[in-house]
Amino acid sequence: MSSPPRNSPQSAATEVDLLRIWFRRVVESDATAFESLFRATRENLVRYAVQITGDEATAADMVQEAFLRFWQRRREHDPSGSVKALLFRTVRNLALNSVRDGKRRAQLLAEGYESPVRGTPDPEMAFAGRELAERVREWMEELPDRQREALTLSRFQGLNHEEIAEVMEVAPRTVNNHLVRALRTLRDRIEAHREGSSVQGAG
Amino acid sequence: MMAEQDKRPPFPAQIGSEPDSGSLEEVWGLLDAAAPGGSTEVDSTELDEAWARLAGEIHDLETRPSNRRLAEATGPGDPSSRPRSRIRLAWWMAVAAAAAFVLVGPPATIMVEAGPGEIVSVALADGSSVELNSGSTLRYARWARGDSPRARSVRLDGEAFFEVVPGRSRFQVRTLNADVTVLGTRFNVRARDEPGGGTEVAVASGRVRLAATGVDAGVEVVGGRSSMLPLGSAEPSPASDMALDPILSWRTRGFAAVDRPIGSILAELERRFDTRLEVASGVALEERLTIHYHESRDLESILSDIATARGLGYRAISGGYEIHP
Repeated sequence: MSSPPRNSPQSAATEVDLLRIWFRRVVESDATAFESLFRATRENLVRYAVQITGDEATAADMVQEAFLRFWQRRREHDPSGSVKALLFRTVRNLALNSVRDGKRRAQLLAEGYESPVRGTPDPEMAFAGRELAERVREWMEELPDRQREALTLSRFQGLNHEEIAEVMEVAPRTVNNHLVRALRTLRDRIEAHREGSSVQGAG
Repeated sequence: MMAEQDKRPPFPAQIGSEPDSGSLEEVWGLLDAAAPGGSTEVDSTELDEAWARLAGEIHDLETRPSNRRLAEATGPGDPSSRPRSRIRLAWWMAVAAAAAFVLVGPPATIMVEAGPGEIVSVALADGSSVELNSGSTLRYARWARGDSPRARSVRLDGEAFFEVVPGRSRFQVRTLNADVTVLGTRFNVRARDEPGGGTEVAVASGRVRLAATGVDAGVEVVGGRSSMLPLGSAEPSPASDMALDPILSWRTRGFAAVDRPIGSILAELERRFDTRLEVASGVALEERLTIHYHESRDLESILSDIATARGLGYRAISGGYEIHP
């Protein structure tokens, strides 16, 4: 049966509260809270890891590994911290290590990591909004790695500046600089694109 | 599992102090289209498998003698056969295992599934029993026996009727969004991940508490009453009187739905009759309907009644039916 769209999004506040509650219970060795946390966050973590490894199977392995570590070291964690930042940071380090250990992209660690290859936009997708979306996606790929990573964590994973700083191991101020620069670059590209389209339209 | 949510994180306040923050906020909004992965639904089977793998791995690690892990970590074997991070990991796992928290942690779980068209009875080690409705899954710890606190916790996805024997510890049913805590009682739990779904508890006798997952406060439900915790909500509805008969009709192979969206009813029929129900456009799936058959009834006569009640039509298709306006 074709099911209609779900219409029960959890409010951001509820989600954060549940994560905090589960984190505290995991630190107290509650296995069910661990399962809830796993089920609530795995998908986003895998998606994030794919951006680093470029490969879904490796990304899924890294997330499994991250949760394994998280459980094994649960008592060392401070439950008043951000469990999201902790998990994203662990996944990031494991994913970067796997990229390095695999020696597939040895040079990348110094400057950042390579973004996964994406398909080129379909030329027949002349529909304007769709085209802009494709372009924005391309322009995001062209951003410097750090800027793109900060933007992805902020915009698509809903982490705040402090959490991103913890994940990327930089100062919150640096996170803000990355985000502002990324958004400015995208804005300039979008404006140039719009002007280009309107000139074409007039001609 | 819950579908990917279309929620946009708020524009960060820190960027708001930039002189050009207005145009940056506009870009922030436009980025919806560039979300990685597009509109993927969370694949619950994949998630279940990933969880089973993780739980199994942790169980193995925590019950395995520590010297074997140490041998693996330091032995002569071929180090290139495993990624380095794994070997480093093995070191502290060995330490962890030596610390002997053998029975702590997610143990391997037993999973009992009632497939489409099936109703399955499960006897738990403590003497309690569970009757699973079609298309429902019950999971509990492999080493669950006796009356330890952990032994009396089960996870339910779907619908089941519980007869819980009194014990020293509380009995807990965990669902996708709720904890149902009981002492000794008979009650029905319906936990479906569907529009308008959530966890619904109806108590035949005794007393249970329904609370959002991980939340301490909740609603007490006594015999003859029911309460519902919708998906995404932290507060169950106040307990109210209910007719137990329709809620438990599935146990006698009857079928009932009280004030339930048509989409939910059709999904329930698919599970019960192991069939496929296609819905043509123009059928309002969110419209609510109440139907009740105390005893077994064939699918076509139920569809016919629904169609009559809502002015719809239906026709047989390969492997099922299509419902159309």
